[in-house]
Amino acid sequence: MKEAWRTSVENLDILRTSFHFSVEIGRWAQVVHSSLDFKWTTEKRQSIDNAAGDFIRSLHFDAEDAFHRPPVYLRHVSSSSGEDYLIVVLHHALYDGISLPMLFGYVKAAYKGDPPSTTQFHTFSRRIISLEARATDYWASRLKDVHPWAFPRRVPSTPNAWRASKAVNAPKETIDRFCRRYEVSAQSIAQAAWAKVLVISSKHLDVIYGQVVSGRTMAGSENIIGPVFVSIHPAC
Amino acid sequence: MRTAFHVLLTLSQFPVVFEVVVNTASDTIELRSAVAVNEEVVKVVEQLIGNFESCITYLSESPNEDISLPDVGNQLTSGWPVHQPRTQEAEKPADPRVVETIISELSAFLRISAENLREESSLLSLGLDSLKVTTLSHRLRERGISIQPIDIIRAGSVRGVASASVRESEQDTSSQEESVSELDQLLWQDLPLESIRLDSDDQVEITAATALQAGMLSQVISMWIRGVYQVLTGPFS
Repeated sequence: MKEAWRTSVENLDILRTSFHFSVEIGRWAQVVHSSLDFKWTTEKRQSIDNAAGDFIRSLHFDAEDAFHRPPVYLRHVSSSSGEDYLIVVLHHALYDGISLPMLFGYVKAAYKGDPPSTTQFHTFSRRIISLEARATDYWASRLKDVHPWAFPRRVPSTPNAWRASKAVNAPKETIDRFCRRYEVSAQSIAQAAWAKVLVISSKHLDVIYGQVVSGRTMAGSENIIGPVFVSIHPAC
Repeated sequence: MRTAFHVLLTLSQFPVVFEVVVNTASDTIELRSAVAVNEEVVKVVEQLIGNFESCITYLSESPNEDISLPDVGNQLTSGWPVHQPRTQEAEKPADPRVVETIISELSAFLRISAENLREESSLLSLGLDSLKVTTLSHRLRERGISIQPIDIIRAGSVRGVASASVRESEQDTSSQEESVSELDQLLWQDLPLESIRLDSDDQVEITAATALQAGMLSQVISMWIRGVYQVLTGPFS
């Protein structure tokens, strides 16, 4: 298993990517290394309980230099009851939801000694940035007279992230039936609901908000292991 | 001005209502149909819609203003202005191979005989909705035709899709690509190579991070949100 992961890190440039911030330019750079930085550790413990939490608490990412090495960490945990676990810690700058099963599929193929050829993320990232530039120009021009509005905080200001939620009491069958009737997806309904929340909260009829898109519709992006998600599309 | 014609047909035991809406303000003609859900009837309706489209296209694209159509066509079209095609999409010749591929994919995907599909066939009339266009976009990409789902809806017709996909390949992105290269150059100049390399043999390649990568890196540093990390565990042997 360890060798399968080593082969994967050797072959996939996104797993050999570190990040550096240029103060002068005000941009993050991603740096692909030819040298291998393979951070595999082993741990024996009484129980597997809390192993993942303990592992991630031992890692620190509160400064820019924490990313000067590729943020990929692997830990093999053996419990005294004879169980073996592998804990994989990856920063979200290295993957998206579609990548994960592909990454594990790649490791599995490497384990069997037959890793497939794959398109590297960095051959693609320039295209993503180029698209971002074009989209930014477009939306900046389109929204030039729009004024930002801050969502009112319901809790006192805190340095940490905060989250609020409210359960929707509609059963899944009702939502599915509604979607079929109007030929829309559940996501469309959620977006319409969010737009309505914004309209009511802001007391403005014209609202705009962002929607993260996968970016996997770009030609050639289907099999790339990496954070392909292109951008956040404004929805009006 | 909107003018509507209603036609009630009875196909087998199923009633079918057609509504033709002529909107002179937006220069469009819409054919709407309400039909009981029955595959046989739907096939007949699709054929009728296809024939209707052919008539309309013939009317709108024919250089000869003195048009005579057989049967029902004359009654429906009396007094209508004859328009030349308005949009560039309609004028632009589509690559016949691309059109052929799109028709064959559409035919397999929507289970409609390819004979009933024409360049000017309206995709929405054929039953393509916002959910189906995503699948169609994937299927077309597998056949080497790259087009976003939203552009399929905008294109409206087989010919429109063919033209839009051609345009995508011809799209000029050179100015943006130049600025991306310039950005990479600046990063190369600004970042000290000796502090970037992991060891003396390390060969590095520097490119700008994408916007969302940058956003998540900055977010983690400022808030150290553990949730941005994916912790994956699983037994293995």
